[in-house]
Amino acid sequence: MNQLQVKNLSFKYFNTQKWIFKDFSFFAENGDIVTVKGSSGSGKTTLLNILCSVIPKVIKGDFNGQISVNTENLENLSLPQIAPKISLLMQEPEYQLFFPTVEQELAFAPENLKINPQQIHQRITQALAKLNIKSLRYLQTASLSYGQKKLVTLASILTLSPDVFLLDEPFAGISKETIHIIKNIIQELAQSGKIIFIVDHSEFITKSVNKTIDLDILNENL
Amino acid sequence: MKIYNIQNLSFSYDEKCLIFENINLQLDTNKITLLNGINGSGKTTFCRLLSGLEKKYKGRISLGYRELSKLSSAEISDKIVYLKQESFANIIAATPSEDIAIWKHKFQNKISHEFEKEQLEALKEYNLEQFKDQPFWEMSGGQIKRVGLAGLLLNMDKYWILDEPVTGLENALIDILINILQKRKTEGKGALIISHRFEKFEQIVDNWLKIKDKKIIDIK
Amino acid sequence: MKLNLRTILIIVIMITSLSVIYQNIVVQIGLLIISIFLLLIVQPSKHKLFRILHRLKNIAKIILTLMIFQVLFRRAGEIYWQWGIIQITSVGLNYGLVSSLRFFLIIIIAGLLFDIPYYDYLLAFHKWKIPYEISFLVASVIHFIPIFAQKFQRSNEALLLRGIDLKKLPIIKRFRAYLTLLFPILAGAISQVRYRAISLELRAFRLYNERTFLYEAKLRWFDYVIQVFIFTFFLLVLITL
Repeated sequence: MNQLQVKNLSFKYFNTQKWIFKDFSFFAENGDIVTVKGSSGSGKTTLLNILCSVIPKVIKGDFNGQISVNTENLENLSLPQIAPKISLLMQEPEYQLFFPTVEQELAFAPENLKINPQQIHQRITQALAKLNIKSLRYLQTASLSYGQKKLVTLASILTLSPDVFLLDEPFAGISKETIHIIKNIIQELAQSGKIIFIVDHSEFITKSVNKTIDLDILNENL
Repeated sequence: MKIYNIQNLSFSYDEKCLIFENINLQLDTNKITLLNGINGSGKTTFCRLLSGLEKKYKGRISLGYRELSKLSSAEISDKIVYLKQESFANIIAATPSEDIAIWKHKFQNKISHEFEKEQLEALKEYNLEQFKDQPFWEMSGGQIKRVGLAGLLLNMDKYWILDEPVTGLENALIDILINILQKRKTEGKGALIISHRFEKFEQIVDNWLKIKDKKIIDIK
Repeated sequence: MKLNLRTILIIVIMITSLSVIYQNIVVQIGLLIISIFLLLIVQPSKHKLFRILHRLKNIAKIILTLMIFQVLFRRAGEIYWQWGIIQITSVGLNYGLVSSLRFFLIIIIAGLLFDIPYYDYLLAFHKWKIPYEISFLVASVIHFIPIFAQKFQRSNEALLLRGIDLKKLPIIKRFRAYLTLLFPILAGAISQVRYRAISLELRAFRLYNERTFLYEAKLRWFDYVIQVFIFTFFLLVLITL
């Protein structure tokens, strides 16, 4: 049973007057797919950063409130401790690629979690198969196209397999055929009990979504 | 009039893997062409070939009436402008206003007072006036993308090659681009657009192309 | 017979130590032969051999110039030839030849080491109890070199696409242009570091003191044999010379 609880969240960046969240509360559980909508600059990426504690741990601002995953308050945990519970796929693949080859990239997170090599192998093979990118396994990440890099970063969060997935524009720069594949993966993850937050401009995934956070509407009321 | 006349074009980055094989194609100056294809099929490579960044191709590509591989970058950029897919790749300077200014001064000339107005207008079109002096590394991906699009507005009289111009942009901004493209069409200026989101461009596209099996075919 | 990287590194350490210790032409030539032999065992592909030959060709002029300087400015021992104040002496000649041979050696060994996949280094360092953080740092540097090269290449292309040819600009304007290009790349890289660090931590980097590894690099029988051989050889050379 996975749960994510946002309690009384208030946040604004330093040096601005504008509050992005004021006393905002939200609850998500097993199998929820939540879209985060809003115009450019309304705070979508900010919200994802708050959910995984990047704000206020790394990026500072006026922050108040509590985020808990599976009843554990994230305030007392370090980012690496938070990673197995909730992790973030950033929009820009360049920020998330560290190793020469794709396979090493995908092995990184499970290696950090001390998962045994056989299981790591399995996770990698499964992630590559699900995204239909088996042929990229031994290639250099530097030689991949933008779309392929995005898929590899998505695969690397699949091998981490946190309880809550935060996906920032996962469909940007991806071809139609692959979007379909990603939609299926998201649904599969939800069915297996994971919680997924998606920032998505393109409204690709409206059908399976059961919760929405619309930041334009929230901001209007502030 | 054909802006590009491509004959028997074949191309590979190394000797091993052929990306295009014997392409024959013409692009109209005043029409909008949309090109699609799966990830890695060669869409960006095609743009690089057409913009003169890759010169080691087999066959002929004529831009206007001259062979592309024989033209200088100045001559090519007089006729076409290529907006790359990755937002950072289109940026040279540290802030939007500095970057847009480079289109005009090219590090050689002085900027006139009238140009500052033109510069501001371009940034305004994409709601960027408030960011004009903000460094790029503090901007979001979508904002940087918009700066690239704003730069296009200083090149209205050229043929545009746009590689995924609207990914990550919300509908209101996409509509702005489409209106601009439509207006240009009435003035005889066309574009080659690469986009997975082709439903957005349906209203204005004249030709539909797809890359399949190292060839470019007409669809629809 | 694929040699474990640890064995290769031990051989390389031995070769470079001996090269630095002895100012003897015969020793340098001998080490050069060993390193070429090592290269052939480890990287038998034609492509890579050509690359190293190519590098040698490019560097040859520099090495030659350096050698001439060494020969002319080291004066001691028997004078072979003299013209005015310019002398070619036995010590100078020896020094010149030795340093050039050493240079060749470094290029061959560097070429060999650079082409070995990073993951092999990671496993070798791990077995030698070097902290993972250091391996990771090395990986990051390796990862960044092509990225920086790519970024500069991209800026160059952005300029070309705007019809700007840096080579045709007068020097002052060209300098200004380079500054305009470099500044955002560096500032961007620095700001990127922050996001990359976040990304690392959110992949559970350094969550525990240990970690598992996808692959293993075990030492095989010939690794042990060669390592023993190398140690004895090293000791023999040190004793006899």
